[in-house]
Amino acid sequence: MNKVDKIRSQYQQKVKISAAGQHIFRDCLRAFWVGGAICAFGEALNAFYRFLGADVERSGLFTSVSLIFLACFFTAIGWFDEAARYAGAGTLVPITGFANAIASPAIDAKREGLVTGMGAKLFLVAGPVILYGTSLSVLYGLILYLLRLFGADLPEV
Amino acid sequence: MLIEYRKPIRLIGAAAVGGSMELSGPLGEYLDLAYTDDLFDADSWESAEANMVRYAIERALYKLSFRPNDVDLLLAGDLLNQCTASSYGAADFGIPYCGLYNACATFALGCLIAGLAIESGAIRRAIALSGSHFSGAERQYRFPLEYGCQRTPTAQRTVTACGCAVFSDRDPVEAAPIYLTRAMPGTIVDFGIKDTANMGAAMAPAAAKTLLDYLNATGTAPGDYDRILTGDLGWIGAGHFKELCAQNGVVLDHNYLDCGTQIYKKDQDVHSGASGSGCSAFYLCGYLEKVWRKTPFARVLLIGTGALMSPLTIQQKQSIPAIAHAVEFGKEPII
Repeated sequence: MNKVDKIRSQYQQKVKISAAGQHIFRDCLRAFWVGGAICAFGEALNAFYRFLGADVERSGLFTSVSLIFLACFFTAIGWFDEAARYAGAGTLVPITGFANAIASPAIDAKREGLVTGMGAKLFLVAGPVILYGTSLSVLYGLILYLLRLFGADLPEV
Repeated sequence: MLIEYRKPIRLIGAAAVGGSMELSGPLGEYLDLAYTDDLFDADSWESAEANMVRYAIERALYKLSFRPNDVDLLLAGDLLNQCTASSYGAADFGIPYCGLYNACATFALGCLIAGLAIESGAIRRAIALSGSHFSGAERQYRFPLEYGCQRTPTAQRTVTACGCAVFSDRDPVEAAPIYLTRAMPGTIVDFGIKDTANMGAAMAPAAAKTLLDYLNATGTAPGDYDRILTGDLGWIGAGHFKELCAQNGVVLDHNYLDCGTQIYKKDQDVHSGASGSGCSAFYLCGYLEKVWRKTPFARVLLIGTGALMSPLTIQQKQSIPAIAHAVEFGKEPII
């Protein structure tokens, strides 16, 4: 390694150390309480729909739809990104994060038209999740099928 | 490559335009025009940035009682693809136009070339202009605006501001003239940093190299300057910059400032500070020019810093090349 490379790699090391997350504990705490609160709110909604007479499957569905709607609504009025700035993964991990990932490019690309703008950019952030999510589910299904074929006794999902 | 301007080229007037975050920052009162709505009368962020350029030129010309045809050359650049904010914003004026791109070092580059153009005798007056818009930059370089994500502590906020400086070697001399005395175009320096959320660190080596070369070529020490300014390294990048300089035997004292650390208050939640091609332009055209007219500085060195990557090169895992151009202002011309 020559002298210039050595200086560079030393610098890269130094930059890496100084850039390391300084607030991991604080960020985790925020993510867990906000994420937990969203999930608790979801549970409350679920109970509310059950109270109104929905069965287990339907109340779960209604809860998801309600949370998606609220996430999109708060994205539209510009509150969601403020909340995510504070809570990080707390807003990202529940279904709200996925809704925001679809709604925000839609708002952003509106000016470029419905086809070349919104239509083309809608899955800008969520696209990879959908692609690899569905691809992996096929792969896992295949593994499950093979395991059953060779006699593994696995419960129905 | 040190350039010494032999003609008495002065910064005769300047104007800065900014958005709401910049207005509520510590230098907000030095803006010539500020909008609390970051759309600047437009209906898209790209047009907003173009309007900012338009208003900055209008303001600068108005303050000097100039008409557009009093200026022979407009050197302008921004961060949008194909420099559209500058081109669209400058379109109405009919001033001969050169679009520049050196990322956030564009303003320093504009001053350098404006000086050369006037020095040549072909140009009477030239404008150096540079702007950036937070929302436009977010769209282009990062995520959709409303997308909820957290920033790392090293990330910087792109300044929503535009600075416009008018240079001339004629016109009556002001009470406290700002002469453009020397300049040094930088070389591209790449220390292998790949993190776009830490551009201060990527640009610090380029800034250090230019400063060291500049001090060497002029035979000066940091103490000879009233202020040494870097463009937009931010708090973290400025730390790296100082350390690199110290390793090479140049210790920077309190006369060193980074423009990126001056524009926002720490409680404005901007992490490592401000960045963007409007950053140094705002500091110089908004703050420094006004302060200078009251209490002149003897020598001020501005080192504009730019990160020359694109979103595609970053996705291709290439490192960030950086550049830094130096321009020096003084209260007296060289000769």
